[in-house]
Amino acid sequence: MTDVVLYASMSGNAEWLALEIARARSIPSVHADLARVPELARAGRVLAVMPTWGRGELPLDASPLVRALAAAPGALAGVAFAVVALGDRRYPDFCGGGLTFARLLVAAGASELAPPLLLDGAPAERHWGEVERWLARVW
Amino acid sequence: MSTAIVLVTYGEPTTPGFFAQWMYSLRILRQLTRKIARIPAPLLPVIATARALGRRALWSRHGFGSPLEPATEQTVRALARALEGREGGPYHVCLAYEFRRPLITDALAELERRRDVDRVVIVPMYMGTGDFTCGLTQSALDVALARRGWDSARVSMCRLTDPAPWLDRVAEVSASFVVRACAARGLALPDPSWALCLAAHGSVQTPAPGVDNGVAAFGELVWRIAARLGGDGGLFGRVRNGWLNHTRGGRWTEPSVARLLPRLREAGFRKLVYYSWGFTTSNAESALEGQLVLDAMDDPFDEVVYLPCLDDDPEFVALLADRIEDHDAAVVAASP
Repeated sequence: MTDVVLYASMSGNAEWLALEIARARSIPSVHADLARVPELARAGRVLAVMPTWGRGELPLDASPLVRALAAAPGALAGVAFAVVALGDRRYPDFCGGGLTFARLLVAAGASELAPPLLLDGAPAERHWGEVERWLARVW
Repeated sequence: MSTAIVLVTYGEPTTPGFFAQWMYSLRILRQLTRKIARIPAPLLPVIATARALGRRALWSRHGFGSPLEPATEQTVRALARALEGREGGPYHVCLAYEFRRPLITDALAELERRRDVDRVVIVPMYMGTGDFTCGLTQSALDVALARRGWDSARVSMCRLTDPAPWLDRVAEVSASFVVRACAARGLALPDPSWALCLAAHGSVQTPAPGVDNGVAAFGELVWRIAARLGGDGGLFGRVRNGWLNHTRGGRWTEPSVARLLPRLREAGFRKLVYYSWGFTTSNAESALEGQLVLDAMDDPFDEVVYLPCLDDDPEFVALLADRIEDHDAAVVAASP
């Protein structure tokens, strides 16, 4: 059972954050476009870094995984997870992408370690301190 | 009396000749790059020389000439035809460039000499707003207006995708263009075996404080285009956006096109439509640089349909005419 950092990204901010977390914690990372449900099911813990785009939605590159998870209720039973959600308060449904993904993981049987960390605005670098403190508490 | 419409693109030399490339690079460094990076002034000609030599070598190696200026000229002619007989007219359409002559100041000086022009509408031909796109035009315009003492009722700027309803129109036309351009190249949609790579010019993620890198505005537009194409499993098996990045000045937008394309291959797609949605007008980045990324792939696609930019597409030109007419009517209505 290993941990994994899972991420989707449209402009690179979520990716930067995900890869920084993976590096700092020595955890492997996987892009949502290439992630498979059976592989996630074998993980002990999943740390998902998910941005928001459009009208509070997950980005396009999360959509194959979202469909696969929706079609596999209970597939992630025994997996624990936490979500880092990126958003922008100038738009409706702040951090809607990450919050949606957290609900999806719960529906797939995973258990939530802590409520999602909600981060407002880019660039991701300015949130790093907050992320480190949050990780120290929940991960 | 008439209204002058000035279409503005960044301008790019048509040929790889050194001096034209050098002057173009120098203007970019002075007006744009220094917004991102603190480059000492004495270094600017040196960097411009390196860039001009690099572009000359690259273009010459590929026998490339930039389509930007001829395509812009075609759009000017098409727009003039589309505006003929419109209510707010007559309209006189001309062009100006950010980094080439005729500059915006050149165009305004010319229009000032004409006695039949009572209003000028500057139209930056950029898909998104931000300090590296429309903001450049606004800066040049502010300087020119301050020099001449003209007011905003006489000279105004009309952004293509602002306000929001126009963002939807541009997305609609862009998506329609993809479908029509694919059909014209023998690709009938929907076809889930094809992936679509949407490409746009990238930006630095960490610009100087107070500088809008335009990523949010571009994100809003590409989301709308992708939604109209049905996203994954709509007209294409997969729809993804990639950025055409530079390498210096900080962390750039990701995924770059160079990283995105192998990922699409890894996901199993062997056929690709490549569309540079982020530019209104074909140019070296849209016409050459994306092609070079495709050519350099270790595991290339079996089939690629490479689309041009909107250029003088009739639906796009009609949209442009509608946007300008709407803007001009608002300026007139707001005038005392």
